[in-house]
Amino acid sequence: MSAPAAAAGGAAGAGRYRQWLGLAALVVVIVLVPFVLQGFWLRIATGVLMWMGLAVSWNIIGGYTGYVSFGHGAFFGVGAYTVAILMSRFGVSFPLALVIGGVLGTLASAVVGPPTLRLQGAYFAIATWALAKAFEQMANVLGITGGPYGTSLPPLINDHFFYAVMAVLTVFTAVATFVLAERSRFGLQIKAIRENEASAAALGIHTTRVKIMAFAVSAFFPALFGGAYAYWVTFINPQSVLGDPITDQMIIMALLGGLGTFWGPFLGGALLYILKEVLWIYWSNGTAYLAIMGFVICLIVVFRPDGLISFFQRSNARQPGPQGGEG
Amino acid sequence: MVESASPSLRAEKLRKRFGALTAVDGVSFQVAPGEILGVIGPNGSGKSTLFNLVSGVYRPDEGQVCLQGKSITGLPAFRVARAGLCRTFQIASPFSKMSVWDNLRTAASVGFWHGHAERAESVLALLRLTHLRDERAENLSGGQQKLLELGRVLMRDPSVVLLDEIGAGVNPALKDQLAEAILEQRRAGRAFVVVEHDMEFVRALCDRVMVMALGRVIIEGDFDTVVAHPEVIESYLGMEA
Amino acid sequence: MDLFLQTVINGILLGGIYIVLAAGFSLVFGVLDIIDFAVGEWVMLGAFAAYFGQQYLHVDAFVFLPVVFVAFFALGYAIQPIIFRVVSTKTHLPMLMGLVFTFGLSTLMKGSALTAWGYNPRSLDTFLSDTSLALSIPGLRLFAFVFAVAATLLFIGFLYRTRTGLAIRAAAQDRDKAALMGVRVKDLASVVYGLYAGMTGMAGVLIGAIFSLSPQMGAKYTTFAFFVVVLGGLGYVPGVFVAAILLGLINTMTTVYFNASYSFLMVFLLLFLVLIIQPKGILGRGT
Repeated sequence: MSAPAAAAGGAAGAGRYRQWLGLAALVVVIVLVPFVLQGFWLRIATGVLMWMGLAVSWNIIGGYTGYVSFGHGAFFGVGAYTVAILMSRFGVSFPLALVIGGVLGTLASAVVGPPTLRLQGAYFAIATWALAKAFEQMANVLGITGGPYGTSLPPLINDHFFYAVMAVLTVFTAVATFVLAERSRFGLQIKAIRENEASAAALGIHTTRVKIMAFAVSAFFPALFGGAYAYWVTFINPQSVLGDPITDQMIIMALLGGLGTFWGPFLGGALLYILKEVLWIYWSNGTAYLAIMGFVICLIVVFRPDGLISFFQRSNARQPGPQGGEG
Repeated sequence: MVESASPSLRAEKLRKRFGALTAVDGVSFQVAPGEILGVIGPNGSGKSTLFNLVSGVYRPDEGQVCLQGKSITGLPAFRVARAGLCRTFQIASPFSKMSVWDNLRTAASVGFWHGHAERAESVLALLRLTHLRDERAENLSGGQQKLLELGRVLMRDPSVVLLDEIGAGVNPALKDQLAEAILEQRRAGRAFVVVEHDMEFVRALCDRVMVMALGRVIIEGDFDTVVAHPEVIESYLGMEA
Repeated sequence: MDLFLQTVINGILLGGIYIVLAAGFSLVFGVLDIIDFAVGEWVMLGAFAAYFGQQYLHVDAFVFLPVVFVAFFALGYAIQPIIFRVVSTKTHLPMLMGLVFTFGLSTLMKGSALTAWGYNPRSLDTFLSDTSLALSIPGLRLFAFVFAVAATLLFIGFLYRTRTGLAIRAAAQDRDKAALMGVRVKDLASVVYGLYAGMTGMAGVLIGAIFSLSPQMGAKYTTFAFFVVVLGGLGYVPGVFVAAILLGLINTMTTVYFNASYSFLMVFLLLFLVLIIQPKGILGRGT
């Protein structure tokens, strides 16, 4: 940034450093956790990390770019199944399988992206929804995936190992997202597309290409997380890695935290995952969680569409003067 | 039609149909560097469609558009913008949740990133929006948003600027500011095509005026001549809702 | 040949029910600009309403149909203002928020149903179960079809022959202009959504009677509703007829000649393909 801009940044300038500080603090906490928590709680922390990462990833296309994908679970599932099949049937090592899973997930998005991203709002939502369901059905009928009975992986019980894997992936996702969405031209462009796609194009932005890139980036991380998840839980089936709950949770976590904000999905992810586990522990109940999730979505959309993070942000609205123009 | 040695923008016999309706019916015009052309006409006369044809939002059924000698006919909007023709929209379309500063930066993100900070500073100064640089675009008044639209366009150093009713809904003080900014920019050689309803604004600003009705150009010339023309008077009185 | 004919007829009969399902959905999109992700859950609730009506009130499902209609109409009418508020233009990205809201509604309904009633499928018997007519057409399906067609005709009659219906169609064409002409769009919106909930609830009763019901059945019917409406053209109600019958045929044909699980896959893929190639629907008349 050139000097005049940095100096003139003022409040924004101080905010720049605060963001990086926040990230650094996050990394420190993540590193310290395994020294403090063990066993069951460490596993909870692992889950929290994964879901924060998933929510942050989905937020790239859903929140920053404004293209609400109702089928992102498909990429998670692609990563999961890739690792599962490569490791159990072909004896591939975990790191290699993980990377391949990530690549395949991204490829899938590159194939699916161009046609779907040409569609507007509602159509895009339905198309991605239909696609994810198709993937789930395919996993149900194909032999190589083990069909509806699922497939298992070579077992490994090592809480610290999996925590480390998720930690690395989450930090990677967080930093990459921060740089891309908050500190680069690309970030400005995707936000512009969300705000007003026609204006963005009228300013020279190749909106289709930018959208496809955003979609691919947003698919890459979930694919990695899916692969890691498969190895972690040792057994997967279409419902568990390609079903509704994956996408549903990604969406609500980002929404609850704050769509299109950087820190929102972290907050939403952590809160909701912990809520789910608490419900499970104290009530042995997984379905009440669904109902509560749905209710929370409705509440947020009606009363606080900017998400919980907006409680922490300095109010950005000045006194309303004569407001003009349609948003 | 006024012939010019090398027009910045030339449109020839543009035609666009939507089903049974011919919105633009064989329109030709051109603008020279530094010239300000006004386009007036009753609602539904095809002015906005014309802009959309020239800027790449629609593809013309017939006709051509040349920007600085090169054809841009049928190119998508973003390529037209990259070639040097930028436009504003009738309904203010700022990036609402982004700051004024980020709005300007985004405009520069393709091809004008180098030195964008300095350019943004000078654009803010020109439009007297410097004090609002960190304000979210949605918090600006309607008139200020229109100024921002112009500012974004200027970030791209375009050779031709299409302004679609930029004065609409803007208070007189800001309108004067707009006019000032446009006149200042024309000295840099930029050509402007301005669709407007405010006749005072048109008269003060434009070198030439083109009148459209029912998708065709009725007449073209300087403001006073055009406005006195009987067909023009009739089309306004006859058609305006 | 007999099998083929039977499959075709079954497909058409099924299609009739899908018409009821999709007609309201299509209208809601046309008038309110909402894609209701909860459509499948309305179906599910309708099925369960009939089930409990039978269990506790000992009323046959088909006799219960009008009750379901009225109850669901009232429910939809009551919920509508919330939805309207979400999709009003004052919100940032109203369409998106509307989508997410109905998605939340669907999750809420499904989660509540699962919590209250568990995962197990149940069945709904009516006095027409296990009857059949010529060509082994189940009496049940035939009745459902006839009812569906009758309900749809009534719906269309309402739309095209009453003043309220006219207002609704006007609002579906252009909400703002209709408002300018004195149409009370907010009240209308409630009527439309209520009608939609009522129709969809009834479709649920029919479906519950023919197939089994479970709290998770919603997703399938949401997909079907999307399918019919997208293929027929979003907002274009007549297209719904063609697409619904087509869907019914796809379902029965793939089940009989291939495999039931493939039929879902086919539906999803076809939906996706249509969206990519011709989002305005196979008749090209969608918005």
